[in-house]
Amino acid sequence: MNILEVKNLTKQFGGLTATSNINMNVEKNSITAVIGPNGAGKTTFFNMITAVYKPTAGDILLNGKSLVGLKPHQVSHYGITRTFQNIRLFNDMTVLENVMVGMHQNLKAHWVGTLLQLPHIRKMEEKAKVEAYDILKYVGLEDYVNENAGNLAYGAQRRLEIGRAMAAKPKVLLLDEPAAGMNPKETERLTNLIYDLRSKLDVTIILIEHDMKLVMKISDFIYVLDHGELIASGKPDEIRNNKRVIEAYLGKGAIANG
Amino acid sequence: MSALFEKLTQSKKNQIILFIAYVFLTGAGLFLLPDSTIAFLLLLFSILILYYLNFNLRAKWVTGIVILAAIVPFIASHSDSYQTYMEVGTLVGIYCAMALGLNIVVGFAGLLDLGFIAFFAVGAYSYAIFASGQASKFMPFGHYPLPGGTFWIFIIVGACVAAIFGILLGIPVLRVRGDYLAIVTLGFGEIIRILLNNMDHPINITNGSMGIASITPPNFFGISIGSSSQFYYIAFGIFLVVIYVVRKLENSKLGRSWKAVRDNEIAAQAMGIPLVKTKLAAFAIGASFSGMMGVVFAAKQMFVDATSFTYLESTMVLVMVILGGMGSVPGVILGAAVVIILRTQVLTNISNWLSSMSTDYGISIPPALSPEKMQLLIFGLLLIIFALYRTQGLIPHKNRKVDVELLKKESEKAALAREKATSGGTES
Ligand SMILES: Nc1ncnc2c1ncn2[C@@H]1O[C@H](COP(=O)(O)OP(=O)(O)OP(=O)(O)O)[C@@H](O)[C@H]1O
Ligand SMILES: [Mg+2]
Repeated sequence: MNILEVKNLTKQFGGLTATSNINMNVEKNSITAVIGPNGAGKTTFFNMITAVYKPTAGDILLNGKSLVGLKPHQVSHYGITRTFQNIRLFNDMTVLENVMVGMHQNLKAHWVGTLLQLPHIRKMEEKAKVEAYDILKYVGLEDYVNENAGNLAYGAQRRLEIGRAMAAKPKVLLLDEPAAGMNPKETERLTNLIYDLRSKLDVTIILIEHDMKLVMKISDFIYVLDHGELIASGKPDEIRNNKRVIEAYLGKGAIANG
Repeated sequence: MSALFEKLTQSKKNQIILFIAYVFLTGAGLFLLPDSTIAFLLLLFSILILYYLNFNLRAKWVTGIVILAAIVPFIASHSDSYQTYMEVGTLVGIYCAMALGLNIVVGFAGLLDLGFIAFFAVGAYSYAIFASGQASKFMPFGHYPLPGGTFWIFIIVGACVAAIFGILLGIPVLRVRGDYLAIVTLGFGEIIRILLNNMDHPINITNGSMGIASITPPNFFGISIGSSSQFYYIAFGIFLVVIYVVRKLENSKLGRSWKAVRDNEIAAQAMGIPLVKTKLAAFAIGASFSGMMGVVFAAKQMFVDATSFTYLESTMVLVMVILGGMGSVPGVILGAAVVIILRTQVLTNISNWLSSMSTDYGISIPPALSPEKMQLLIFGLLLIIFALYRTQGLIPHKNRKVDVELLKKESEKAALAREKATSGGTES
């Protein structure tokens, strides 16, 4: 069953076509990778799904319902959350608070109730804290609960972003270059984390990644973008040997010369 | 010496003894010395000391309230300058609440507002118009002025009206950011002031530049409230309410949403936080504090006109927030107290001293250069100094830390409960 369908998705910035006519079907509970050289339009693609950008043309369907025209926070309520290529944490809030913000859409706490100290709201807050702590343990940040997010090391910040996105209990999780800047050991840990996420949380994962080892190992299906166009799609083995993909990465003639 | 001091202050018992001694000494000073502004300020300073002692939180609150609600007024009442002291206390209370309101907008939600005094003005005018004969000039029904007993209702009305104006300001402002936001809010503040100054025609609502006089004083079960020592308690009461609201909101869902929006708008939205609603809530709740205190201000002065709500006043409230520490509740309170005391006590005292110097020694200082008149310069310099050397303010903001050990335990307990539930499920 397809959870997410993308139809003829196009984005133009003035004269520049960042993505053109992209079609994609993402199966429920799968791990899908979107790869391509720098500037291929991958992040733009994510930005359209999460309503940061409005598509110039095309449609995005989550379980058959169109997301085009929604506000970013509405898309999140529909069940899509993401991480960012250039990390976007709440730097002056604690690590725990960052995760708690991720949980907000599932916390029904009106501020008037907070002021009245309604017992069920207090209980909910306490429970949310414990749950947030569990998530931090899951992504390996339980030692930094009270630290400001901005003070974390790079790899830890990436993991916190994943934790924050997980906290929203999304149906679809978009990861934009989660392994960027990580050393091999951290990358391996991340790989296991993503695997585990999928099976434990029953979530569909789409990730943009440049680390081919990771992509080939982890993905069920791969889409390849180049200059805004979808040039190939298929299982890892098919992509590995696809001529157009190799050309896109290494430049025309690479195969002839090599 | 400092080692000795450290040793003395280490144990809780010593802390308590030293603190009581301090309160007693400064209190005695205020009691015995005639016109002892310094003793009064030192007594107030005890609240700051209290903040840094390591008692438990509840004990601190109780002590602080006892000092401010009983000890300070009682001792001051024996002084000739009783009403002056209480006037300062009232002003500190009023501006603390306002600064805490602005702190929600600037410190929590990260939205610069240079026209914050407008909400104070709106609150003040809403009481002034209806608690004086002014309302009868345009209202087709009702008898005005309303009796002093309505003051208490008007505190709520002032909060609501200010909140509505907060939302009115918020809606256009949400489209702009950064520098533009500052300019739009500045413009809003000025528009409100100019409107109030000119709404005497075609319908006379605010009585224009003449202002509104003979405002009915509040009435508390038959007692007419007119002196600063009485208003002190009203301001103090509202201040306590405001502090409660701020403390509760700061670490709630809404408070976290504000800070998330402040730290990263795009990420906040991606986590499902509605930008518009969250920002409007900050404007409305922040403004409502100002509105309440505006009502108190109008009742205290018994006269309002637009000159009390100039851009300078907006800047002052902003200075309180920045000086104290953006986002830091104790910091902002300290900032408000420092600025008010500087304005009403220190600068006037220095001015008086300088002018007495000039008569005694024949040194003539032109009145235009008296510190009282140089407020803008002095506060401007303060802002620059803080921007350069202490950007986080007097008491920097600290995030509330959670008890990790407790969380760990709770988490283990929850895990155990889950395990039991699932194993119980398979057995049956
Ligand atoms: N807001 C924007 N305005 C104008 N052009 C943009 C904007 N965002 C992206 N672009 C352009 O769109 C193209 C695709 O950018 P995008 O960030 O999607 O690439 P990417 O595949 O994520 O690359 P990378 O691997 O480097 O992250 C680039 O040429 C980029 O300059
Ligand atoms: Mg990118």
